[in-house]
Amino acid sequence: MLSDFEYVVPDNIADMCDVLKQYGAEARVLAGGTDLLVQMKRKGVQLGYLVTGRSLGLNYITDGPQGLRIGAFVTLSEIERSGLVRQKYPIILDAVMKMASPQVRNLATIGGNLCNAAPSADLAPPLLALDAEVTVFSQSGERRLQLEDFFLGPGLTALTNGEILSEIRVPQLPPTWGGAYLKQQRTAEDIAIVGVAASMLISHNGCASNVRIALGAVGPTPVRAVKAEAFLEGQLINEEKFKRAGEIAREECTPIDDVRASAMYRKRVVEVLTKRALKEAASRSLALSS
Amino acid sequence: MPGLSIVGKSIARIDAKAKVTGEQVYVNDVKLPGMLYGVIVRGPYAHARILEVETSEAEAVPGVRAVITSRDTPGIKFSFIPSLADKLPLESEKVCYVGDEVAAVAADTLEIAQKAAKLVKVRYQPLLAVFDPEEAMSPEAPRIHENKESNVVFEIHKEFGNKDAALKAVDYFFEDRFVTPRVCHCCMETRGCIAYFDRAGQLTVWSPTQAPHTLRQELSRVLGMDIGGIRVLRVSAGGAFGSRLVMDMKEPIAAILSQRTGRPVKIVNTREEEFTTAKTRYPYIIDLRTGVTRDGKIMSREARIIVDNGAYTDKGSATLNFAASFFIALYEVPYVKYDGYLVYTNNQFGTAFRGFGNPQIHFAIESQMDIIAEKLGLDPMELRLRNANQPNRRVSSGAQVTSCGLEACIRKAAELSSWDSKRAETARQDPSALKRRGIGMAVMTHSGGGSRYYGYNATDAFVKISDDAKVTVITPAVEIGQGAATAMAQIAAEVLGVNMDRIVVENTDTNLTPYDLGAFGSRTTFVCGNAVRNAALDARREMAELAAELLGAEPQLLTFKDERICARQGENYISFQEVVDYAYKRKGRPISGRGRYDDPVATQVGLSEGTENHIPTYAFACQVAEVEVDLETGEVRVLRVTAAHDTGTTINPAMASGQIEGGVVQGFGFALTERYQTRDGKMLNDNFLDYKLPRAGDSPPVDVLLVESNDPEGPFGAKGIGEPGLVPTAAAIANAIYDAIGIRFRHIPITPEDILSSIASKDKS
Repeated sequence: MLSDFEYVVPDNIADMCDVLKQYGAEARVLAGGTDLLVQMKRKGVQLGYLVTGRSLGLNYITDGPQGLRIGAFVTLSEIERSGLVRQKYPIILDAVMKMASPQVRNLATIGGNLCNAAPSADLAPPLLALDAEVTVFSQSGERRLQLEDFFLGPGLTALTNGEILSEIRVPQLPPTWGGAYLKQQRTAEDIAIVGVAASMLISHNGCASNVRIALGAVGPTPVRAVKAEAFLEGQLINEEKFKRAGEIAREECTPIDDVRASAMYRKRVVEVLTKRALKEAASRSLALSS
Repeated sequence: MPGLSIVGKSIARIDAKAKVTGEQVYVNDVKLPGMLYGVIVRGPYAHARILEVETSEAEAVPGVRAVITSRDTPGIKFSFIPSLADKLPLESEKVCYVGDEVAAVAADTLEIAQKAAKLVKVRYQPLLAVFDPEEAMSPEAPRIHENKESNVVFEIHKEFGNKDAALKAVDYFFEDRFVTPRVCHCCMETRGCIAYFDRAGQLTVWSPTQAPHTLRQELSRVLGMDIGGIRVLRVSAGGAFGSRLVMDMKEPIAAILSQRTGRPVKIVNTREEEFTTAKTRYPYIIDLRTGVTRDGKIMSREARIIVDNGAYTDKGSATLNFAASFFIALYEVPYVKYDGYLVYTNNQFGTAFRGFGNPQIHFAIESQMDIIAEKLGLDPMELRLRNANQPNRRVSSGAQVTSCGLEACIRKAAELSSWDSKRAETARQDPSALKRRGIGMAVMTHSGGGSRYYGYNATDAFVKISDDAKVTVITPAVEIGQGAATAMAQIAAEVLGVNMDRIVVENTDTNLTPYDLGAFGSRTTFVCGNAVRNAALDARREMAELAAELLGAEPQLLTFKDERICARQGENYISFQEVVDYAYKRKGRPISGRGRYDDPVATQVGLSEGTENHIPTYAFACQVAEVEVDLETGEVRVLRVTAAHDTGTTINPAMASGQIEGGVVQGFGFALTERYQTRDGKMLNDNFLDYKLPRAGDSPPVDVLLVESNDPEGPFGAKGIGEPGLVPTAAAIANAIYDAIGIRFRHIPITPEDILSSIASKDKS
């Protein structure tokens, strides 16, 4: 049952921060509502104030010298339709296309997906693999932090009282950067049992650099598999190395048993998907450099 | 069938526009003046004694009109079969599964009712619970119903044929245990009802039931009132699949709340209530022993079946009975033995679910057929062909098979799926490939016309032709989304030779519709369709007499087709409309017809030796599944299912195909994705995020083949098609997985984790 709440429409982002500051834990930002309303209906989350951010103009996708900038209130459908994302950041599209149904994608936002901080958030691994930063806005101004530092635990982020996530930034990528996101799910429209994003650059001599591997749903937060990354960095790539990187990633993650899958199965899938995502990322990079 | 103009055509459903546009009214759309909203207070324990129910706080909430407990009910126990009665509408002494009804609230709004329901305070003393049916059979197990002698509530023992002669011929015995899971119906619409006791004491119930006349009987029993005082108005069902066949306790609870308040009361399940209390498919444990000769002739088949009944008895005994008929009749087997035990546990209880015990039995039989085929070095198709039943055979139990398209289904499915070449291809696969393909087959038989277990399998229909030349068909055929109303309209339109837009179907009000058992057992087309055909023929006789006067011809020589009544081919004719005008304006009389489907065998079955003829007609099918197994992740993709089904004659190919496709997708979920997960009897995944019902994106392409065996008793030769679609699917998929990776799964669902751990243990050994 949905308890009573007040629906607040702030005039601008500063007002929004005021409202959030004033009501503290009583208030939450309402973006698409596809997670928040379910929590309120099913999980007994009681809130006095839902503050909508849809009127703030934070729904842009732009590319420039500072890289890709996505407003926090951009919906998944908007990302899906963005030619820019499609051409230059296909790893993000990989994730969006595997998320929920078209109806849900019409409502759900990139900011909501990150702020909800589910370990299985599909957009987190690709953005981690892209070294994304987030912009956080509050009464005292803006601060920027690495996405890696944004996730603190299941449902927990680095946002403090009165702060909102306003923008996601991805630094400029070299033209031959390749990345891919793979997701293990039980049926279509499912949340991830395991999500793995991988990205790299392949130099003309066939060596990998800037290797990033990010894992979803196998720990309290989405995480980078730094040991597997380090293993591959500077290496001449081949199938065997990808396989080994998968084995290392498997040992780095800390999944749990739940109704969706056992920890053992998740580890096994991390190993397989890491190998496959690396292979796909490498082949995309090679395709761009040839 | 040649010569037919409406039957056999994929005509758009008569309810298509209302359903596509959202105009169709479901029970949650119905709002009556002064209507209250009811909420049920449910026990949180799998097994607990109720010590005290305190309602005063809930009663004090403004807007609350009534709070009831068992004290406010007649205290009459209910089960579908009266002699097995074990369930009170509101429990007084114990709760026996998580979600058991304890109290109920009616209030001005749903929100108030929900709030007040939380304020009903119940004190419980938790008791030891038992969830495993085999454990529950032990004398030491907690007794769930203390007035019963044991947790085994029902047994069935059947044995037919010459045991000694049959067993003597056996060269090999095969013994396997197969286990099938609890799954939920997952109707898009959750179950609900409205009940209203009016000032005259008449109880009217709005319900998306599959069996409105049975609902009247059930309500009259549990409320202790005369059946004549109960009227059921059937509203559209947003899915049924058996879950709306037997009354659940919402109907009597709403009725009692209405009686207390003098207002109509609506109760609708939340999705969580639907998952946890709307009843499920019965889980079966099947020990199957089959004896075969060296050349692949099945001589004997013996099953010992343990069914998890759950906390109360609903359709558990009937599913065991029903499935026995098909266990016996699928193949020609000289000796069969069938022993079933229905066992109480503290789980959610089962009910009817599309296939009614038969998908469980077929998973066992048809998985074992492939085990046998491999051992004998036979192609699985060949083994099935050697044992397939044939038309006009009497099986070992004495049951009569009439029309039978099994062999044709097998051959056609094999041909369309390129069985031989695909089997050869999968056998030649690179053994080191990480994705492996497989192809598997399973056949089935099911009823194509209900059953005679009730000692009754008849119904009536009426046709009236009004002054505007509209044809109204009054039939009890229950529309639950399967297309029954359209099928009835097509049958009437065919007989009368009129266009579909003349036909109106009235089938919602028990005050109006003839008595009938309801929409289940794939019986509606066969039983109600025959009655409608006969009623239309009766009306046609009246039309023919009138037309004969106008045409100067013999009434029995007239043909009715394309809105015309013809004396001879094309030459001397008159329009349907003109004959109706002639009747009303010149002859001063109306036109109508009455028809009956009568099944006299129904009153005799099961009464003495050799009268096991429970099934009026059998439907047959063969499905071939093709899969790809990812050896690294354990994922199974179903690439294609070829489904050849014996429909007798198809009334509406698009609707029949839709029934088969839907069945296959449900069978896919049964085989691979759906898991009912619990801890201490509490369901852990009571939502569509974690209960993995197949989505549109998971549905494999289904190639449907309609095989027409022309049933001698069916309307225009038709048989039912509502259930067969999912009966063989799980076995076909399991057999395909075996073909792909050489691992035999004797349980479903077969999850990616099962596949990976089986591969790992196979590699070890």
